[in-house]
Amino acid sequence: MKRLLLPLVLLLALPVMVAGQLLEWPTHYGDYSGRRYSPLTQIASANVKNLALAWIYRASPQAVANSGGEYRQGDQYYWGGPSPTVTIKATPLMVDGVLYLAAPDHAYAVDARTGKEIWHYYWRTRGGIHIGNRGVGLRGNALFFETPDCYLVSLDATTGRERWHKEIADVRQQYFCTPAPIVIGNHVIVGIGGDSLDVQGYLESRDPDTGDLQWRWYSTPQKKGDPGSETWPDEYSMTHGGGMTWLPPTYDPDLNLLYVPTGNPNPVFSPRSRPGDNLFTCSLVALDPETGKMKWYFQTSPHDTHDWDSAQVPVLIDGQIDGRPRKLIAQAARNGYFFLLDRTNGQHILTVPYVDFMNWSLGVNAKGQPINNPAKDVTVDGVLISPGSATNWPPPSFNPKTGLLYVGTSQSYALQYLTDTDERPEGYGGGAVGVGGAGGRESYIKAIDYKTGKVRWRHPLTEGGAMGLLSTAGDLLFGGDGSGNFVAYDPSTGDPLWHVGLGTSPSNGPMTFMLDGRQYVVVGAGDSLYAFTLPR
Amino acid sequence: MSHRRARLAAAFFSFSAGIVLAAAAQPPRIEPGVERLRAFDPAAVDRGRSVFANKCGACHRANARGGQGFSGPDLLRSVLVLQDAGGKEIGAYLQTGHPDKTKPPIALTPAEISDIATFLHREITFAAERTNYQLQYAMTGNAAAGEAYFKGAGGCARCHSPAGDLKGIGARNDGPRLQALIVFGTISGGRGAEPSPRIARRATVTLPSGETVSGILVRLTDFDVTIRNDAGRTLTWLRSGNTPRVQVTDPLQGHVDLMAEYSDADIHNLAAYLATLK
Repeated sequence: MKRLLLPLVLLLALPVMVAGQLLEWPTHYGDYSGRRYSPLTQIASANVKNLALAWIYRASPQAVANSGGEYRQGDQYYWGGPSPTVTIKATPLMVDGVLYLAAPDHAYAVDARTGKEIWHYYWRTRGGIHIGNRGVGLRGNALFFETPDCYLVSLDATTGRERWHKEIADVRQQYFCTPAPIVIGNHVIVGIGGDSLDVQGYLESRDPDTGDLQWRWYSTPQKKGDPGSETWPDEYSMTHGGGMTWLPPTYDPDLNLLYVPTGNPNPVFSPRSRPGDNLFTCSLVALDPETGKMKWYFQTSPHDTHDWDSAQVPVLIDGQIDGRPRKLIAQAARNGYFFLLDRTNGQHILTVPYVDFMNWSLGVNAKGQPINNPAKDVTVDGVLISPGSATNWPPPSFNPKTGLLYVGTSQSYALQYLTDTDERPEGYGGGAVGVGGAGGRESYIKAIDYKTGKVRWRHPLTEGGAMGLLSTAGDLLFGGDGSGNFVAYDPSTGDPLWHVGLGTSPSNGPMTFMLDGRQYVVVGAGDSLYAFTLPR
Repeated sequence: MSHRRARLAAAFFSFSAGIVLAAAAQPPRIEPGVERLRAFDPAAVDRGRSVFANKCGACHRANARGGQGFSGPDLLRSVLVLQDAGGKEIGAYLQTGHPDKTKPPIALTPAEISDIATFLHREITFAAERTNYQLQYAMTGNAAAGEAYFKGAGGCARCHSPAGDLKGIGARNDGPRLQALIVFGTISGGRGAEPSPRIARRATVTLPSGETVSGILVRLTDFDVTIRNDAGRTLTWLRSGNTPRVQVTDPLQGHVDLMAEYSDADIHNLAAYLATLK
């Protein structure tokens, strides 16, 4: 059995490794970089046409005896109860022949060789919106995942038995939690979500042995005089200003910096109670993982008024700009702009639109930030906004061989209305309400040249949007096409090289690993995982 | 995150005080479009709103949001209210003489406290649940300008006629529906699973033999194309590259082409014009 020779703890501390050594998928993005790029080459463009189904695993939505939770019989559910179905939005981890994944109220361990379930853990929820779960974190034999009612649960990875659970946010205040924890040394980094009411976003570090809080970083200032407080009218607005940490951060071990993308400000569409840039919402923020102290920030949507959270993957690229090697960070943001920064200090390098049409922005300011067009703030008689949402949480992929960032994107249009005209608007306060709807949708996978921000190629998706993407050194780009197919594309042209109809469209980011000398590609679609490998 | 919209449909919630089940013998009055509020006893909400306005509104404003000129906080953002279950915590708090125990307790009966709690939880639900949001729409456009755009720059008259397909459109649709029809050609942007021939995309498939087959386009991917021909038969071909060749025509293409051209005033003016076509 070919196994990684490095001890697991070291692996988890330093999963960004020399190309060719990373055989497993030990953390959410595969490694800390957010590239979702695998150096594996067994499955390659020349042989991908032979790729065949190895197994299917169907995740059960049922309650099981191996369970935990704070719900007591007869309690009210807050904002939602248990879901009768499972949709796999998590990217599984694969360590030592076992896949680990989560769904709202569930965690599963699956034999990576056979697709047979090893254990299943069920969480008795108090409520929370059961929209999705991005996956688990792993440190040695300790597994971590978040629940919709905002508990961090730690399980014994071997048995699936609970070690402990800790509340990380209050479901009664409309928080609900979807992120995958990221383990960095002795820190379990956990984000939270919930922007239906006007609560505060934050990121936490928890002790992996006890679950105790190590630090908390708020994504908005807490009081006048704090950095960023000058971008809010008062303490009341900043402490109800949103900025959720929906997405797992990325991490540079050499710089020891954690890169956190933050969500939109609140109230979402009705901004009259929050004039100003509203820092540090809709931003890329670099934190010290030991202390949670901010090192730098770059705001990608100052004073957002369209739900343009910046909760898209900040991808770490070691590249060349003007002939010089640079440590870079790139993001294709939901507002339709591609951003490239120096990740050592947040210095701006590029801001380039990657959608064809954009009517909410008046351009880019001297700092490289989009300028919000106030005429496109929502009104009671409606405004037409495009893009409706250029991309979202499904992860992009960066291939260092092609120098291209692959992102699923759409050029949609939405009629958006102001619905809350009160001097103190609450929650969303507007949006594509009623028959506002959205249409004119053109979905693509686009390949963005990180050095210029230019779209090198685009591949249309005629029936729906893309989900997560995966690049490999086998000159392949894997992803869904929105019509029930899982597809391997040529990363240089976007031409499809292989596909399989799964009936249900892929719903997560695919991943790959090497086990017993065989490379597998695994994708989730609906309630099932599908594993593919080359026939022997 | 737009996927967060979908979550609302799946969510449900059941505070105990003042709640009636949808299946209760006396069907509650339902506010239009406010589906989730069926869970609240509207009589209790109304009583609570009235008691709140009388006894709490001077400090918290009648809608409980506080604000300019009001000394009390916004109770829709109050952690105590959000954490309250059926008036229990709110009731206990009010008995102590809030906010700092220096004032006498507010004289409220248990039933009034329960009604106030129901009112506050209803207001919170209304703020948090986008499916509950109600348009405040008022028509602002200029009908004459809309007519000029229709006949001129918009090119609408190429496909539509005020006395023909659009006759009565202003009687059948309110402003927001008219605006959706103007921009998307359909309500809510979708065509539906079984689109009417008026809005369905059509495809012509050219087979390697040179034969062409046409019908309503059902599905087109990189790997297959499915059409329904005029006899109602469903036909599928596998595709490789551009073979067989598929040519798609979209009756709504004129709408798609205009999306990037409209000003919001164009849309408002067109809606005002179409509203006159009774």
